[in-house]
Amino acid sequence: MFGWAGNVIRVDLTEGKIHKEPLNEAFARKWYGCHGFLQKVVFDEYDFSERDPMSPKNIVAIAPGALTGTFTPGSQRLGVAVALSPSYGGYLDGFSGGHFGPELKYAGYDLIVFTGKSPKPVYLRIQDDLVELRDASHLWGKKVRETSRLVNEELGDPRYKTLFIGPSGENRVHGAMAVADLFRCPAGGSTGAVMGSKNLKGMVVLGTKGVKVADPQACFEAFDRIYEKNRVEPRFKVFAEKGTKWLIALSGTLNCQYNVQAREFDYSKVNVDRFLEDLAEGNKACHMCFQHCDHYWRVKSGKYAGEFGCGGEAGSIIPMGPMVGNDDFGSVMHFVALISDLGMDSITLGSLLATAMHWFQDGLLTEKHTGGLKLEWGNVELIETLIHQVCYREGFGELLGEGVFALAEKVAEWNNLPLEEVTKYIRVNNKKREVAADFRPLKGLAFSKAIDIRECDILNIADTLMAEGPVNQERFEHLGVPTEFAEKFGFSYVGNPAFFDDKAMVKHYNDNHCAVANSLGICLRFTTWAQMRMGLEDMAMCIKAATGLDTTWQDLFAFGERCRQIEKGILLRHGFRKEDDYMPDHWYNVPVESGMFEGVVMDKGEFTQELENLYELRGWDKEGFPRRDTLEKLGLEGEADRLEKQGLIAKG
Amino acid sequence: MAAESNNKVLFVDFEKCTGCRTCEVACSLRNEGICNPALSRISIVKWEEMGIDVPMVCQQCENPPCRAVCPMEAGYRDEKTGALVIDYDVCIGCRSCVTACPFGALVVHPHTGKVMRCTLCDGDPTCVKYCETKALQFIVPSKLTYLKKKASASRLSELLAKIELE
Repeated sequence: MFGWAGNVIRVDLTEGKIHKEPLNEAFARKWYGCHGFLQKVVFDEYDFSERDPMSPKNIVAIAPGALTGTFTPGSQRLGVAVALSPSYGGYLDGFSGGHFGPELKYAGYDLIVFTGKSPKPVYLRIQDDLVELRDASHLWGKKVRETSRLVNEELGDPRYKTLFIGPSGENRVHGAMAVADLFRCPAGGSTGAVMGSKNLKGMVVLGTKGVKVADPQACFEAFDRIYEKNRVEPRFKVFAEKGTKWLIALSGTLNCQYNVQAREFDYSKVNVDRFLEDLAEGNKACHMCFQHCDHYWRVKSGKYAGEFGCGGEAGSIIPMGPMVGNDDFGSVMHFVALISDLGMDSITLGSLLATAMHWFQDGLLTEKHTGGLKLEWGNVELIETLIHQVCYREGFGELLGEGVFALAEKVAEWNNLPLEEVTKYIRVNNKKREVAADFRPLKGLAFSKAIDIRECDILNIADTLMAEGPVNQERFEHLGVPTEFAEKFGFSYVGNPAFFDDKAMVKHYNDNHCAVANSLGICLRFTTWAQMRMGLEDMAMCIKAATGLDTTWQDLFAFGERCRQIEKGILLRHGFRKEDDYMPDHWYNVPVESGMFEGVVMDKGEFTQELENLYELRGWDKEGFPRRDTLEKLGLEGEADRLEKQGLIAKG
Repeated sequence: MAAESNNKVLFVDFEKCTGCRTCEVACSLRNEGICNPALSRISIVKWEEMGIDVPMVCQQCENPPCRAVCPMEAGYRDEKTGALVIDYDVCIGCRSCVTACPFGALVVHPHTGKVMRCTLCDGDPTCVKYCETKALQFIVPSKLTYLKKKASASRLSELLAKIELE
């Protein structure tokens, strides 16, 4: 097989048994990798009657993409999935870049599936054909960076790529994740907490076998073509120089109501220029990436002088700065580094702390509840204390570690308030997935985030496609949208954030696009999604070069559709229904209270109309159940049978 | 004296290296037909935690210890490209050259044991072509040293400007 590495590892942690099997070629061609593999494994193998995410029956699966490790621009994605996420009671996969995914391919593996629970802490070591579980008792309790250091010393080889959880995963904290290559975070859904519940500290890999490709010359040519197109885009320069940090003030101010702090924050001390001038030391990149949006940084003055790290996206800086009212950039970066070292998702933690602070300010939480802590905005010592308490589940952190909903229930109980009254201030959709901001003024984002299962990870939303630039057919074609769709988009409201109209159409397209890129292992930042020019046609070209398979953009679009259908199947089997595709009721028909969007209203009827339009595009009935012929057309007969047995297929 | 184009050197400016390993994959794909950094003639040595990435590759030394220690005199210089190459008909695979190279720039094939070295890709190094930040450059030494002088002078002039302001 070209492109794929050709092997699957299954680990039964209870028995300590490792089973290797060749990758089934038909399976690979149908599901490609990463996102596709992970969803298919969960759909087929998880016992959906098991509702305890910490049960040994839960599945942790890890997969690089089909093109990860090949000579394809930006091809380094790694996916980490759990069948049942403690964060919301559904499936979740998080993606990261770095070097772990490609190294796994070079060692010869496309998929690892963990089940069971180890009697003692272990980690998986892979060195080409050698795959073994090793004792991790001495690593338990250690942070990510130290764990990686110790394991590389223990194995006597600094080349091992690492993927480890930190104390927060071990302590099953809501929002915990594994960290790849010290700084790369496949976050979301508390995958780290599930690993912790299995006594799985993580894994290391060293590969020397490589990935065979069908046509090396075609690989070079495909790379050249994408490089030439992308490097002249204005966005390329922005990301190459500033990374995502250019979004700090923009994203921060989008926090309309529920995060007053971030909206009214003084961004003069925490912004992209301060980062580049005071902190950044040089650009860093993931494997096979010429865009190098990452920075290595070091705090040079103040109390946190000497703190250093890599990463620190806008998505991490905002929760540790603006959202908690902290304008000391040195401490923000210290927290960003500390949190990832503890194996915790910064967005989940930041939102949690901000919410707790908000309730404290409103008098709903008092020192009696917090163990004597005064939850003031921007108190650096307090934030440090809270981070430790959450990740080690000490003091007030015992409760906070259960997540923002558990906290809301307590707050409601303590104040004799209805839960709805309290949860008004939590930014989540009806699946309890956290939403980055109050998107009522931006209808496309509100629509997309209501439906999505990936909270802090914006890698599956449609809206970046229409967020900026002229919205016309030419522009969409320029960005790699096939003409058939570009035509429709060009004469539509997709780019108008004030209306729900046509948002289903663009979400349908872009969700499929994202499913394809995430399955191939291509970073979305190279693609149409990020206003760059790698479209489905380019991906088909890369597949042909690397695997030798003839595909068209239509094939890939259908594959993306297949992923979305199976994701829907998983969610239905987890018990999610149409009402879970909404925002909580208080988002609708209530005008934005203040700020530049004051008075803007989100109409529930209009939302429902667009939601049903999306169901129609996907081939589902009005309640969101897939029609049998929809699934059969995509080659999902077996899946349709399973859903039908459970009554999860559209009637008639 | 050969024409100037033959005198180009592979120059590494590690401060510009982002650690993306595209050079490694490109090298292995061009020279071995497979995407496999373990077979690449160029390797990025990483201190991941410190954010340091240093590409290590054959320096094509003027007085190469690898050639000096070869018992079979299998190493010779390709006149067209200026690269030191191995005559595999003569090489006995003793790996003395690997031991002698102070840069660790010679690569031993992890599965066959064969010693591999940078050939400068017939005078057009693939790694250089795919280095976005120009951490790798294939450049004539006189231009290289001039550019280095210029970079240094520009820092000096900045310092001088500061002194005047004070």
